[in-house]
Amino acid sequence: MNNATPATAAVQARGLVKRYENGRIAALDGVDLDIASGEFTAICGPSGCGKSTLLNMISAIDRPDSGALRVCGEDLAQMTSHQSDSFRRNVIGLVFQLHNLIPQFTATENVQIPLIGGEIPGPQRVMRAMELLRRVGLGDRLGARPPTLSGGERQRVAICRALVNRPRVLLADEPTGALDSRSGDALFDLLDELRKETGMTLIVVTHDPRVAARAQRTLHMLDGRISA
Amino acid sequence: MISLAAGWNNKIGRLPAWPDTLLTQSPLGLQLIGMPTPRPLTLVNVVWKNLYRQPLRSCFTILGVSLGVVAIVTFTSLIQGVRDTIQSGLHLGGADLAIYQAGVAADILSSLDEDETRTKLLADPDVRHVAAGLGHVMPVGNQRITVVMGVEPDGFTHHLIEANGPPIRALDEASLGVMAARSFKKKVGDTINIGGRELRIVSVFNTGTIVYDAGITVHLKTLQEMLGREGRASAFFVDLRDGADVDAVAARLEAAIPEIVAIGSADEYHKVDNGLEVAQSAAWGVTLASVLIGSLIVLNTMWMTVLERTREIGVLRAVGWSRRRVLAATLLESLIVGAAALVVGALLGVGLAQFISVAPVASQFVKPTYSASTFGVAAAAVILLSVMGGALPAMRAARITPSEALRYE
Ligand SMILES: Nc1ncnc2c1ncn2[C@@H]1O[C@H](COP(=O)(O)OP(=O)(O)O)[C@@H](O)[C@H]1O
Ligand SMILES: [Mg+2]
Repeated sequence: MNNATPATAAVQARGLVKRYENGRIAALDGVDLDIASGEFTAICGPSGCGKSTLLNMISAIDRPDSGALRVCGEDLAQMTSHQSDSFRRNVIGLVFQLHNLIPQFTATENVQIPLIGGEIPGPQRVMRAMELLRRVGLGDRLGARPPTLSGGERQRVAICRALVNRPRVLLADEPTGALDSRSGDALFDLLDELRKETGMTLIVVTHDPRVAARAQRTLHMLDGRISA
Repeated sequence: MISLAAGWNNKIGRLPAWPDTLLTQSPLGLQLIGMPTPRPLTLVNVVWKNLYRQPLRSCFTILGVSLGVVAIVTFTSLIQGVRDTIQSGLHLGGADLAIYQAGVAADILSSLDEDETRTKLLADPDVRHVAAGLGHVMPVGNQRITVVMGVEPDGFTHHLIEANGPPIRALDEASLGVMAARSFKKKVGDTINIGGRELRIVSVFNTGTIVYDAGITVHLKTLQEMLGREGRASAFFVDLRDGADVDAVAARLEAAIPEIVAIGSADEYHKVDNGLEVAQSAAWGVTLASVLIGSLIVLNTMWMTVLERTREIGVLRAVGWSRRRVLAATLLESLIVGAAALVVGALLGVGLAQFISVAPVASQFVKPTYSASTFGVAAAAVILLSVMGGALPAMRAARITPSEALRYE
């Protein structure tokens, strides 16, 4: 079905540095990182240690000041902003702490948002969105708007929005931060199941120590470095 | 699904396809059979929904912008109406040219020697008939302003005018335009007091030209005498020989008779009356001002909207929307506001023009003409102001970076 050679490394970072406030804050202070394709990695660490900044680098939302970064074989340091947009659109899926859904749109519509203007024809976008929502157990809430959904349901819609482009890497930044522990556990189960089904690489930033147990690998960050 | 995944892979080159099982395995898959599939979400949907978020604000913005459209539609249709009236008035009864005194600022001030001018006009080989007229505006009955036109009893123009009786022949006769007859409630056989004289109404005519139809014609000599302007005429209607070059004759007449201007169309009416030009420049001024004000309104609203949606725009950028798409969505929102304002403004503008045209005095002089070009001008103005007002907010929106937008939770 697919004759491209799968890259073994999903993420390869060497000496990543990112500074803010005219260099006074080193959000990333020399990060070396290898994440294999299809792996489930958890990133832990205290607030302000650079976890979100690292995810922003991997998702090409932001660019490192120095260092080398390859994601799925793409050299992110060399990309134009147009290429980063298309990289995010085609390779990356993002789940945020808050669902960030548009309240006026139904679940099905929210999931389609990343596909607007893309090559996939309209009817197929709807089919994809509905199939994903059914897969995450929201088959009966396809037409529901976010305000009528529970926190866990909204995050599941947000996951579908992240998956609708069929990303190779799914990045989630404290996705259960706003959920109770039961919904949080269920969400991680779901993410891990989806990873296994699709073979995508899953990188989750979390404060929750129980996630570490689920993940194949846990990275600890401190002051812009990976400590373990 | 398979072909979709394959196409996607070919394009990216090295991405593994997702197993199709994920997308077909669905415990609730059968539930939707028979239900209508939702419509795909489009950029226009997104923009449209955005307008619904603050419905009142959107309405106020649309109303504010529509005022400019109202001004354009009302002014332009009334001015166009006046132009059309002038145009048809110049060709009253099949006349090819209208002759006025040169060097006057308003048609009503034109004064020429009746016999001398007629003789000079008839000297041109292409001039077939000449009919003299004396225009005046005076109170008649309870109507403060009425156009009274002194005409020659055997002028050529009479033959082509639709009337329910003979044209005036005697000094004590009058003929009324249909609108005047209606407003004075007079019919053939009645008398009407004009300037202190009782005149017999011999016919009611219908020229289709509002100023004439709202007016009264009397014998030229009667009006001359009434006004103390014996031997004077304000205008001459000229009928040319078939096949004559109207422009060439006009130029020849003006050269041969320096005290006159010859007018063949409304475009040349400024030679004898610059009221239309003044109105037209006023209209342009209003149009320009309304475009500027409209674009400021759009600018203000869209700027607020973009600031409010900073976080959301950041999310859109994070999930792969390009700067250009954000720019397009924001500009499209301005354009939809403009389009709505165009519709609302056009309706209000037509309403206002109609209202003005039935007002007491205005109804005798103007009847709005709605032409495609009027609405074309309004549409162009709306597009211009939407783009002008929307450009800055759209550029601001496109500059929002996801990393910064996502930081303010
Ligand atoms: N856009 C930014 N501008 C200024 N400082 C920033 C920016 N993004 C992150 N930082 C700073 O960089 C450090 C790391 O931030 P972040 O990666 O968000 O940490 P974490 O996600 O681990 O809590 C913090 O000190 C934060 O204040
Ligand atoms: Mg963070």
